[in-house]
Amino acid sequence: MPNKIVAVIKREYMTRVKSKGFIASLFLMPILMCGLVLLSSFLAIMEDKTEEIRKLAVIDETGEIFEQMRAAVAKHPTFQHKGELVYQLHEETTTTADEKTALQERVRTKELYAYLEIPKDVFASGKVLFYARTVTNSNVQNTFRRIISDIVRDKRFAESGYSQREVRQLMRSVGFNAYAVKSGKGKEGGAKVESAIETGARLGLGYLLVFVLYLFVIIYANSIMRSVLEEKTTRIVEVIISSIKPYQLLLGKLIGVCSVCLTMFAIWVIFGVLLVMNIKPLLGIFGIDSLPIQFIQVIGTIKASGTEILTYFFVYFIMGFFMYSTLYAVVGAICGSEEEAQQTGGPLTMLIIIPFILMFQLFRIPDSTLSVLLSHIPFFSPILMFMRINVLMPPLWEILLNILLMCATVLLVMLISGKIYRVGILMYGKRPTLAQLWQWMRY
Amino acid sequence: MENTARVGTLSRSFEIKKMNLLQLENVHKRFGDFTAVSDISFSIEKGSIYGLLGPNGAGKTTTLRMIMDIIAPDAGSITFSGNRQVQDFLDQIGYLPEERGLYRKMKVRDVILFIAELKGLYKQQALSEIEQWLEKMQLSEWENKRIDELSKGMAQKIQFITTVIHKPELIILDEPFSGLDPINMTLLKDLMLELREDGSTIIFSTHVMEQVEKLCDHICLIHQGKVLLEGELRAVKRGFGKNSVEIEYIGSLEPIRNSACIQGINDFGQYAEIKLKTPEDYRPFLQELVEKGVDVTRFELMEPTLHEIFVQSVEAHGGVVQDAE
Repeated sequence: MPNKIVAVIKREYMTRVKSKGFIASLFLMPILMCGLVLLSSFLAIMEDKTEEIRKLAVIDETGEIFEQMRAAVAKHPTFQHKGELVYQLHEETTTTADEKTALQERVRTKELYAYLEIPKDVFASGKVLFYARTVTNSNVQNTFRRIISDIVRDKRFAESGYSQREVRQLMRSVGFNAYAVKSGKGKEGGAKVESAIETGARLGLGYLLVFVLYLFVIIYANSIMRSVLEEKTTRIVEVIISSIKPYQLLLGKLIGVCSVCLTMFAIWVIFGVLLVMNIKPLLGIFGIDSLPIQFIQVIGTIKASGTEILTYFFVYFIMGFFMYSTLYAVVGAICGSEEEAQQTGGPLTMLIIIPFILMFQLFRIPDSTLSVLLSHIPFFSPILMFMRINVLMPPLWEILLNILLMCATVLLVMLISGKIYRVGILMYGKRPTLAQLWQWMRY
Repeated sequence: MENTARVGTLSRSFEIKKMNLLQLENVHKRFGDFTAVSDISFSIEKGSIYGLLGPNGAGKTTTLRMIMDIIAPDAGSITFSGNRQVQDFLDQIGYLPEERGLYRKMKVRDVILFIAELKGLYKQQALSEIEQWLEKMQLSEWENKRIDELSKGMAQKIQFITTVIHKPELIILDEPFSGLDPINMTLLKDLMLELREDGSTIIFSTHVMEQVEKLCDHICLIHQGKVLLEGELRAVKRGFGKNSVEIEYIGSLEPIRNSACIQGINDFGQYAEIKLKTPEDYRPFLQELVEKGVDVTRFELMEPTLHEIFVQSVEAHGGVVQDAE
């Protein structure tokens, strides 16, 4: 007797894997990911460079700073474009409120890029004021701050009788390098120190995987929702559940679609491994013989920690997938149209967006009580716990407890959802109220 | 009259009991405050074609869904081949739901294969069946087309194939004729008779009486969730008596137009269908025709049509029948 769930799994799997969308994502996703990584690192180093001349007015109430400042600005690379100075400073001697309003007006009309106000008491405790149409350009502001600070500081030193050069020499800051101390692998055990590049590579891989997890859970949970909806609106579901139980249909769907994701990951992993193993001969084709040491270190780190991170990735992906997709399947079952389902599914999306947003803050405090507590909320675990594993490996018992907790949640969600699903797929017309859902659970 | 039909069935029910493929006893189903099916009992003989009749909303679909174990009855029992666990026999049942639909993006062959596998067929076996059925339905060249490329009629044929591909013992068709053109209606009717020849038992619901007259051995008329009439079609008709006559005449019917026996006349000039007040009225009516000098060339007592029985029974229970399609 052939297994009927297998028939469902096969259908869900084959229709997706054979679709153009799958083939497209298979190739486009890595390209997109690489593009995103490159773009963000490019944006990070990109400065607010301009070819246009930017005029700045400076109100120097002290009368001592402006000239030195202009000289310093003229030399500073931040204010140059291709060797040409693009920031032009001129002094204004305005004092009245009306005149300042006029300056502001000139900034508004883009005649001036910005104007600075250096108060008389700047040597004591006064603050320099910077006015511009946008103040998000921290690089320009910081450079001005540093230049003015240097001038002010030099003046203070001179007045106290110190040599500027000596003081500068004495006050230079120390270098600072951060190293992550990890638990060693295998027999050696003990502590192992990671270089900054190794940490970067490991965290980078971790981030990438969290992002992939987030993206795929959202995309394929929605795909399940639409597939449930399709079966419901075409009424084919009546034929199906006259052959198998609704929970079997649901389970078959989840396993089928999950396998689609795992297939795609597997192809990427195999491709990635082949690429890493054959990196030298591959680069040889392009005539590159030697690799930069940093690059070799990155590859080495990925080789060393890749297996462990990927294992956790698969565990957390599968858990997250089942948890969210089951809920989305229920949304599909209780709704009558795609628009209705998108609306109803909205709040569910928050369940996965919230941990994703929290992650960006919590990774700075991976072992704080808050991080630990939040990472054990089952709906947040796939992202937050996986983040913790990447940043600072929690104790094994905590991971096992977490996995256990998630398994229990998945089972509970499937049990409850299965009941609503069973009734929902046969109900047409109005979307049920919460009270009705409660009733369905007890049918 | 209605009782006669019932008594007729009851007296027969003892002898046929062993041959029943499906039996419903005092089945009851409520949805909230609404009683969809109330105390329904009937049994279906192996090898018969059974018509489940009733106006829209009578509870036909609910009854069929309960037989399919899609929804559970609140009370009563449903037995298949004398076994209460209908869910163990679902693979021996084929079900065509009232609302049609298939996966629109899938290929014809893949859809049928999927449902055949759900019904427990192995792939190879299913594939050869699919080939035969597509050929029979003249759809072979559409095998690799997607469902959404098919016309509505073709899609319905495909769905019918999915219903019978696993050679079910019992075939349940919910409003199978709705939306079919006359050619496909005839095709479906022939297929149903053919399947019965091959040993299948068929139960189908409809509110179009014409097909029932041609196809069914047994009928069950339900209205507002209750059984109004149940039994062998001939017995049911006999029970209603012949209160219609058809006459052919020369001249005019004017002399008898106000006869006390007549309930209604449908006059076609040389031919008329006349409904009598009671079946017994045909003697006095014939006498009247002769006495009043109408030149009658043919006088025939007619069985009531099922449509008439249907309308009468429902109206007798306070219902209104929208004229059947």
